[in-house]
Order: sequence, then C-alpha cells, then structure tokens
Amino acid sequence: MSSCDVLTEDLLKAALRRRLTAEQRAVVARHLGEPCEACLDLLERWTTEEMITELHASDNLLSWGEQERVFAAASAGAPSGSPALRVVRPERRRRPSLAWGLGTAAIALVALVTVTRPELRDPAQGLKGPQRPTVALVPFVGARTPTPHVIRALASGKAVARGELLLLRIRLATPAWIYLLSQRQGESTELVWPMGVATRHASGEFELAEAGAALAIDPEALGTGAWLIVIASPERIEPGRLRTQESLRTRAEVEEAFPGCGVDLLPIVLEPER
Amino acid sequence: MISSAPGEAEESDLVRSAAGGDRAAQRALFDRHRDGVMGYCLLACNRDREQALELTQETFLRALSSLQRLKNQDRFRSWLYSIAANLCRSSGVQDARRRELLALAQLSLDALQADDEPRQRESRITLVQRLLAQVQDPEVRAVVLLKYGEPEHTTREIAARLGLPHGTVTSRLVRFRAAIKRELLRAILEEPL
Repeated sequence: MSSCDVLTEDLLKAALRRRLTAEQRAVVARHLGEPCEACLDLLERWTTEEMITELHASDNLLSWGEQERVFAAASAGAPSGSPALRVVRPERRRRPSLAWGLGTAAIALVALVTVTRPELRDPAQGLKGPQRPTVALVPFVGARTPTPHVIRALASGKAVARGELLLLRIRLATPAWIYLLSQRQGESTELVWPMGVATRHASGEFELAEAGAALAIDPEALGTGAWLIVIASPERIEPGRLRTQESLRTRAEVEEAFPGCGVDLLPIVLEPER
Repeated sequence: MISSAPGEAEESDLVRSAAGGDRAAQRALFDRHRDGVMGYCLLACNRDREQALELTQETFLRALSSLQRLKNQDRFRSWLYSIAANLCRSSGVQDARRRELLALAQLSLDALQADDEPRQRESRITLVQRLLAQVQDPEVRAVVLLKYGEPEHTTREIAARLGLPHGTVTSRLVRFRAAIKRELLRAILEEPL
C-alpha cells in the first residue's frame, strides 16, 4: 500500500474539519482530480459515515439528551414487545396543571422501561464529592380523546397543540432523587412531582407516576414561556429549597441554583390560538 | 476511525431482533447510525441544526416503524440512508452544488432505492457514468455497471455472471467506492466555507 505525498491522513482530517487554508484546499482539490492510487488506498480506509461525521464539530452532533429524545420519538412507532401505552382520561385535580391516569396506564408505561446505561457519566463531574447524576427528560405528546393516549414524541423546540397533554419519561444514568419543577414566566418554581415523599431512583428509564397513576401535564395551564425542569440530585432536597424566585432559563442557571445536581429543561411552547 | 468492534452483534441480527420489538436491538441500531445520519442531515440542510435534528428523528422514526417491511436485513444501512436522503430531498430547496455533493454522499453510502423518482434515477446513472469515465480497468467497469445499473445486481449475482470470485467483486466495488469518496472530498473542498 503506497502513501500519497499530497493527501495524508492528517491532511484529510484537516480538510474535512475545514482547517485548510484556501491555498491548501486548492492544492488538494486539484490533486484529487488526478488518478492517484495512493489516495484511493487512503480513502478505502475511511467510511463515508466517518467522513461526513468528521465534517461537523462534535457539538453539532446529538448531545446525550437529544439522543434520548430522538430515540424515544423514533421508537415510539416501532414494534414493541411491551403492552401498548394507554393513558386514561385525565381529570383536573387540585393542581390544574396535572392530570392522573389509572394504575393500568402506569403499569403499561413502566413496562416500557428498558436499557440502563450505568457507564454514562457526566464529564463535568470531578473525582471528589458526590457524583453528579446525568438525567434526560423525554417528552411525549398525548391526546385526551377518545381516551387519553400517547400520540407522538415531542421533538425539540416543537409546539404542543391546544388540548394536548404532556407525558414525561425520565432517563437516569446514575441513581438519584428526582424532582420535577415547573416555572411560569415571572413566577417562582413549583414542585410538580413527586407529590408525596421523594425516593431515590435506580438508574434506567421510567415514567412519572405516583400511587399507580401516570402523570400527564396540561401545558395550557402552564402557558407558553413556562419551563419544566427536572433535577436529579445525589441527595434528598428539602421541598423549601426547590422553590426559588430566580428565573431559570438555561441549564447553567439551573445547575447554579441546584449545585451538584444533574438537570434537564423543557420549554413549553403552545401553538398559537386560532 | 470507526470500525466494527469484534464481538459486536451482526447488523442483520440486530435488524431481525429490532423488527420483532426488541428495544435493546432498536437502541443498538440507533446508536450505531445516529452520528452518521445526523451528519448527513446537517450536510443536506447546510448545517441548520434544528432542521437536521428533526430530519434525523423522522429518519429513525420511519426506519424503526417499518423494519418489518425490510426484506433484506443486510441492507439496513443503505435503506436507512435512503430514507434520510428522501426526507432531506423533499425538505427544502438545495442548490446545484449541494445536490451534487449529496448525490455523491448518497452513492457512496450505497443509499439506493428501487422506487426512486425517475429524475433521481437518471441523475444517479449520469453520476456513475461520469465516475466510470475515470476507471480504465474493464473488470472494474463491468462490476460497477452491474452493481449500479438496472436492475441492480447483488455482489453474488455479479460474481456468478462475470465468473469472478465473490471476493474479487467486493474488492473492485470497494475501490470504486473509494473513487466516489475522492469525488465527494473534492466536492466538499470546493464548497464555500
């Protein structure tokens, strides 16, 4: 196998990462028009996927949270060995933003729990002190009628139609206490879940449910501009500490407000009224 | 560089399990191809990340929900990229240069589909002919024409038809694909920054 004097492995990487000068680009492009067998030898060792992945900075590819959301959305329509997901008609309770389904729905939801990935760790976490858990919020959109049911995964930044519900799945890489907060514009955070005593969750994937009932959230009660915030804490957090007047709009702000915790956020976007 | 780790499940086995509802197999397929598909979609929509994310999601949604209809499990990768390519093509306007770049990427990914639109099929044939003009070896030309012509032949069919060992056919195709990648790289370099 010969090696090319013009196109080397390092130069190929630099070309794909767009780090060549205009002059270098012109030289390489010109050379690629020549019948160089050594160039073909080099390119045989690269897959097209590697080339097109190399073209993009790693932060342009899917983040961990996005991977979870995209997979959840994509697998929602895939054949499943688990029972079909069904959420029964919600009734408005004490909190207008919440609706609870029947126990059977929760059982069906929990049956979708599958793979755990304990090897995933937050790269920001240091060697000392409690481990910062990694958490992802995976939202689904549900319809209320004819019986409440999941209709699709909610794509990043997409709006929820009026009358639709939100159902949430949590993906947790390390065991942690989980808290779901909401924050309407200009208001303090409010604890949405758990309603009762918080418990430590094992790593894996699960739906938000309590006393055998699946949780559905009415996004209209929160309104556009509100946020849902999930906190994964290595330690139990007192309810009082979960209430804050600060406006939490970014991951960094939430992490600052809840140091040592893994967080994920979901902005509420409602389709405009017609 | 990415390579198949020893002991990794065969893709066709994963496809079969995933089609039967095995979530872990579905996840494994997703993990294997998510960066490539996202990379392709980013390329297709000129690095519009939101659009690429949406197209990636839609690609996997369509692929995972219709796995049972995939007859040849060995062609999962090609089929997946065919879905991505079709979605990207119908998602927006692309200029001539970008279309050329994507056509090369698609060809290189072997993302072929029998039910392509006639216009797409025609432009693919033109592209293959242009690339073949650079190939002198008559044996490679014969293999490529059977592989990318119509009807498309499998490597085993080509080997039988040309009386060549199967390994020779695949190595000729690997060489031709390297030539496609060379053109792809050239197209990338000629893209405005």
